[in-house]
Amino acid sequence: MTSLTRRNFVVAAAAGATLAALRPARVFAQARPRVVVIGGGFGGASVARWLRRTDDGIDVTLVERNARFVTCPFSNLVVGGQRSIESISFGYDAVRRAGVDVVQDTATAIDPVARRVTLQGGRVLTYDRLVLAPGIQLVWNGIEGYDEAASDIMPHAWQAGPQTLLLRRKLEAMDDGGLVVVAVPDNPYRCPPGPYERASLIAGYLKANKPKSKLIVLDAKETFSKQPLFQEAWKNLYPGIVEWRPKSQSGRVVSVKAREGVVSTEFDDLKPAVANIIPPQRAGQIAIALGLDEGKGFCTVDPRTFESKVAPGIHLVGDAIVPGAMPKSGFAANSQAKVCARAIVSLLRSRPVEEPILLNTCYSYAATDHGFAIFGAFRPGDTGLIVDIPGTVGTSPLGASAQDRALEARYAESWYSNITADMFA
Amino acid sequence: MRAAAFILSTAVFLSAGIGGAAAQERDAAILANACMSCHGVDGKSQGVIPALAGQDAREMAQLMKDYASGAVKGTAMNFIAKGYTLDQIDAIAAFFSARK
Ligand SMILES: Cc1cc2nc3c(=O)[nH]c(=O)nc-3n(C[C@H](O)[C@H](O)[C@H](O)COP(=O)(O)OP(=O)(O)OC[C@H]3O[C@@H](n4cnc5c(N)ncnc54)[C@H](O)[C@@H]3O)c2cc1C
Ligand code: HEC
Repeated sequence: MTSLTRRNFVVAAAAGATLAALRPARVFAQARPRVVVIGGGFGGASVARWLRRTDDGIDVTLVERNARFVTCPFSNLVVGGQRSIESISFGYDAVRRAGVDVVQDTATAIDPVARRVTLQGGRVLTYDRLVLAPGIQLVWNGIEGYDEAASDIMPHAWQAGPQTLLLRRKLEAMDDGGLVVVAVPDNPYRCPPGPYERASLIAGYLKANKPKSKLIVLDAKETFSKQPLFQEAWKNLYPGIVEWRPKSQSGRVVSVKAREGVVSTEFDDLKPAVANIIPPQRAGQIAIALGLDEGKGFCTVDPRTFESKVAPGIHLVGDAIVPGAMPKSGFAANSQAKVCARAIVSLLRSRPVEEPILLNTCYSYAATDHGFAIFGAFRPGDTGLIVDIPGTVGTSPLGASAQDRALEARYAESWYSNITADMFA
Repeated sequence: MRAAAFILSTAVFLSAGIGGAAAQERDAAILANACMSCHGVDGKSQGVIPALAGQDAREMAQLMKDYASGAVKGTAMNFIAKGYTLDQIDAIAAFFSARK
């Protein structure tokens, strides 16, 4: 897969055309422009839907390797036993009904000169503009000893699906009094508050079912997203159950020996009953293979069009990009996708690109009736990165009443229904 | 109360400094689409987040301005409403008002 793509890359370079010199083909008024979207998650499914909602004269093909998409948002509720995996899984029937040609396959190579995508099953798709929304890949051995085989024993559950259920089963099988470890990587990674939401919901399960157990969050950082809100909730809801160890207190996991069940930080070896190891991450391989990350792990884009800074005609949204002040969230991917879709239509129809405002909100649960959030509105900044709009970034207040936390938990549910309907209904 | 909030919110938006005339030319969809992640496609919401489709444009715009100024207390909206100029708010309100 990589070699094929690398060859295309070399061919393009040898032809004297650097990627930056490539221009997408002019689209004539009478032709139906063709957009191919790779990845049918929060970014890709949203781009596909919003291209069709904006201009149904455009042919949109969505390439997604899986028949069903399991959302990472709300997957911590599956880990904690508060929700079923079915309730967070979506098929592509409605996407198809909206006029998107959904192809279940894996994109293995991109030829940016011929503007062709090759799929594992042998199909070749041509495009006028291409969108990559492959999400993240896990960096195996980024933590020494943590590879794909190790993740069968110590699940990451950072791509929702079988891994989510594996982590759940391990928690169910654990005896009362066991130690659970959640290992958190350094920034940047998908969903900054996600590990702490997970720790909270696992703690809720332990408190109700295995009250002699303990959970330690081993963190490669010194601070984390919504920290005061999480720590307030841990103190009030799960006293004596959750402990957080920052990097400076030997929190950073440096290696694991999965078979022996050992998790090692800089100064300690732990032997937890259940280890959830969240490894470092980078953009999905299809973007890396084409060099769109310039060796940095994530891809820089124009904040108005989400077009690659390296390869004109190729757009990227979601976790694969350098998002400036936005976090790597499903909400952000959806917001970026809407802007990207409108920009693509403008570019294909020779209209000026509009000036966007993007939004993000990360809701987290400390318990099913205890929600809080971080909010923000964003715009393209002068430096070419996305910046926040002053006054718009902030969190739910500390010390809020139980009713207020319950209300935000219900807002979170409503958000989840609406954003998943935006993509999959 | 409302008048005071209006003056206060005007000051907030002027100081935000994003252009007025240019904003009006712009299609409101690029701004309104972002709201739909929470309020549902075309402002048709499921669950407790209020629906925006078909709301009275003037009332909706006023509420946005009151969220921005803090005159009305909510959760998300006290942060999000601060991201927009008065012109942008009017355009977004007209957009959702027209969705039935
Ligand atoms: C535990 C957890 C909780 C989270 N909670 C929240 C939350 O509450 N709110 C929130 O906003 N965000 C949350 N997130 C973050 C959110 O899941 C991601 O930010 C979001 O999924 C990013 O969207 P994306 O489109 O970039 O990637 P994804 O949604 O992962 O989609 C990528 C898709 O591309 C496909 N793909 C990749 N490569 C190829 C290829 N070559 N060919 C074909 N298909 C391919 C994959 O199969 C996948 O379906 C959470 C994440 C985790 C891990
Ligand atoms: C993070 C989710 C979220 C986003 C994004 C969001 N809203 Fe809201 N909205 C809410 C919630 C929750 C309420 C209830 C008030 C509160 O708690 O802030 C609300 C209330 C409102 C109301 C009052 C409706 C009523 O009938 O009382 C209006 C108007 C509104 N929003 C407009 C908007 C507009 C316009 C945008 C986009 C610029 C937007 N919202 C983006 C969550 C959101």
